[in-house]
Amino acid sequence: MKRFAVRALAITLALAGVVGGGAAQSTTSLRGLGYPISAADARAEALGGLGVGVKGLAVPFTNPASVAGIYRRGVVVAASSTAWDASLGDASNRTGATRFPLMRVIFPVGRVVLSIGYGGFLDQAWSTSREGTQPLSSGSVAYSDEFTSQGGIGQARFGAAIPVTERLAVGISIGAYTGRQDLGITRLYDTTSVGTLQPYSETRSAQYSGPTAQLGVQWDPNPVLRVGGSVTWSGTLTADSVAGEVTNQEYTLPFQVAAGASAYLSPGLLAAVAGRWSGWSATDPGAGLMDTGGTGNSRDTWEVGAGLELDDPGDRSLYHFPLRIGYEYRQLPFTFLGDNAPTEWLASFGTGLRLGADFNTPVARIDLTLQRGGRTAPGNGTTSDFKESLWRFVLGVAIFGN
Amino acid sequence: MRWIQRIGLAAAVVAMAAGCGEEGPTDVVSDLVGEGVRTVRVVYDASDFLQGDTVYDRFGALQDATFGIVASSYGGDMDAHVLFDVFRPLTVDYPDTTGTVVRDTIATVHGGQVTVFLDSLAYPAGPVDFEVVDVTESWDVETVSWTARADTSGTPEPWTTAGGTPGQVLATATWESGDTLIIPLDSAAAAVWDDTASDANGGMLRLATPGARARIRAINVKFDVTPTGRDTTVTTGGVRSSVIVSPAPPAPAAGVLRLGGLPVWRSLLHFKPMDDLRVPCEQGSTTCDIALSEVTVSAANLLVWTAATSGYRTERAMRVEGRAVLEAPTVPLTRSPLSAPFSSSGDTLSEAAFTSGGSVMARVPVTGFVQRNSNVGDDESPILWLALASAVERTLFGYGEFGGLGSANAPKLELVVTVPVRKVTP
Repeated sequence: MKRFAVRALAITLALAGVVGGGAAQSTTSLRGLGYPISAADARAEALGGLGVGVKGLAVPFTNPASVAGIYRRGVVVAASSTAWDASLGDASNRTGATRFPLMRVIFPVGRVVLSIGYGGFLDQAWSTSREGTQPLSSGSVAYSDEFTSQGGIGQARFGAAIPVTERLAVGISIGAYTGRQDLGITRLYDTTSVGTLQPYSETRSAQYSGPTAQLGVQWDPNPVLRVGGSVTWSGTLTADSVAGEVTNQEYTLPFQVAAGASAYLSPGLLAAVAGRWSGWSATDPGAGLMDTGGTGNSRDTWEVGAGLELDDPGDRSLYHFPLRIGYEYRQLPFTFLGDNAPTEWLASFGTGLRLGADFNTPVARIDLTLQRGGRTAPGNGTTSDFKESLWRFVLGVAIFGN
Repeated sequence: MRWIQRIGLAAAVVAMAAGCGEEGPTDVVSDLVGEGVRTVRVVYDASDFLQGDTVYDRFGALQDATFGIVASSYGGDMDAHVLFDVFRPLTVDYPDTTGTVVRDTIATVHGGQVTVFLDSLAYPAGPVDFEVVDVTESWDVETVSWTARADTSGTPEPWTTAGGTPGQVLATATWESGDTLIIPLDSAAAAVWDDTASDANGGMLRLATPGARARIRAINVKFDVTPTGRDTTVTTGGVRSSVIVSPAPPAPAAGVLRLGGLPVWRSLLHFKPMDDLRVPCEQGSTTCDIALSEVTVSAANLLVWTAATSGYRTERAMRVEGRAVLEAPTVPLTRSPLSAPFSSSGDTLSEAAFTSGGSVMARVPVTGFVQRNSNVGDDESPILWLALASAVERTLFGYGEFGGLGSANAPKLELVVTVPVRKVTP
């Protein structure tokens, strides 16, 4: 057990470097503190995104009690690849990115199930380049600008799920928000009448930190129904300068309440529904650390999702090929155009391979979720609506030992 | 089941390896992201950034020149001669009828020629008459000057006639074009240098055309001789050494910067600390400004304007460089070492820029100097003295003059800065 725990910790720390890394998942990462990332596994994504109160193996960060009942040591990893088209008036672009929204190591100790993991929280990666000409008092100068923002905020959590009764478990987790944002601005000049202009280059970096804790519950009132809920407290997020001219800042992170339930409509058909409220209006993002021209407001948000899964837990065969569909609607917290904040929808289709007869703790599971979605933000009177359509592919791998 | 776990792990690793894709340029983001930075050009008057200037000639002498200058009242005030020491050998080597090189004494000198190689980058204007003149007094090539034929003992021995006491004019020729001028010497002229005493005094090359000047790359003397006991004619001879003699140039006038020449002139500008310099928040703004230390200096040029320079003005194109004066407590300012030039891309000025029409502007890049002084570290001191110098020194006879502090054409400081918009918006 000790050896496993050490390995698990090492893997977690190694993956912490890539969870939340990579490029942007949405143009909306430009504003406020970034684009909120759903730290969920591929199965939870397919069933509405939040994964609260879902029967079977679903271990999103939303509920620390969700690992209750797992009796073998294991690792769950999710990777997502997103491609999207964005448009705003006459401007449009197509791009893509890959992220690792969740990595979690689970190790039961007696009836208590411990877990440690790292997941995404806010994505702050984006980049752009543009060219222009600046009039000077004598002549003009042509330039090429490049803006890059790399990084984001992740969450590291250590939790325990404790069975209170056969049907009721509570979970608790403590953790920390970590991360770093690096902003680079480069301006290259063409040769001008005043001679050669040296390029302008600026790098500013901030490191984020803040505490968080969760309390969750998972209750199975009868064999076909599961209900879950959680509250998430987050302390003040501090952004400390580590390079360049960045003013140290503090942000209030939201209190979050999530609830969900799932039930078998028939022996092999599971229905799940979940929702979460987040008090993002308490957060004053200002213009963000990197002054990207936003209005700097935020709002409370709702996220709701639902899904269906065809996978009979009573089937004792070794191989299972579940099918899933789901839908999720999210309000994003930070204003994007004027005082208007974006909304997001995602329709999901999922399948995969479950190895092992145990529905809650299979030997291994590979889940594939394909999502189609969109984001919109109303224009502010002077600009047209912002629209973004996306395809996202989520791969989840879960492996459990003996 | 172990294989299943391995497959799963492999899938996870592959998924991670495929991750971290690159984001391409995003036009939408370009429309949404703020202005970021601005570029602003600002020009400061001398009183804004200068507290003084000084001019000095520090090193070098006409003896160092690897070229020659001849002039006659050029620009109304400049004369220059080239004195040369003739090599008239006593023997001559030549091939006989069988091709064997033999050496004989010289029986007779029939004549010869003086060859003048002109600098093709500094041709004189119009036809110019050259004269080859016998010098009648001995002189010392190391210490000779316009007024003294020697100064080996610390007491100058003056010429009877300044510029080299002339004897007879041995030959003349008119230059009209081309980089080589051959001045024939007849037998009588050559015979003058056939005398060992006159040989030692050598000759003088000068111009007979008032208002003319020529820069020459080299001068050579050859004699047509007949070896003893032979009837063949052989060419031999040469010049042992040559030197320019010219009156000392006038001292620089007040409010004038002088660069180049020989001895080499340099000018030092004493800058004010740049803490007080401010730049507009955006081009043309008169209501908002920001400290220079808060922006990035993308280019800094010292703007200097030429002043009408006398006949001592540079004979070739000149480029001005800015170099920091690296002061040391125990070293006089004018002997302080200089930094490397801040740039080699400044404007080049032709001789015409220093004629009476003058007032031609030249940019002297000093970006590194301004960057250094606009952001002085806590443990550093500003470097406030900037030396202006010709990009090439000791290879120009003439100098260039520019407007200095207090003149109508005083230097200006041109900055092109990049302003982070976040620093100038609330």
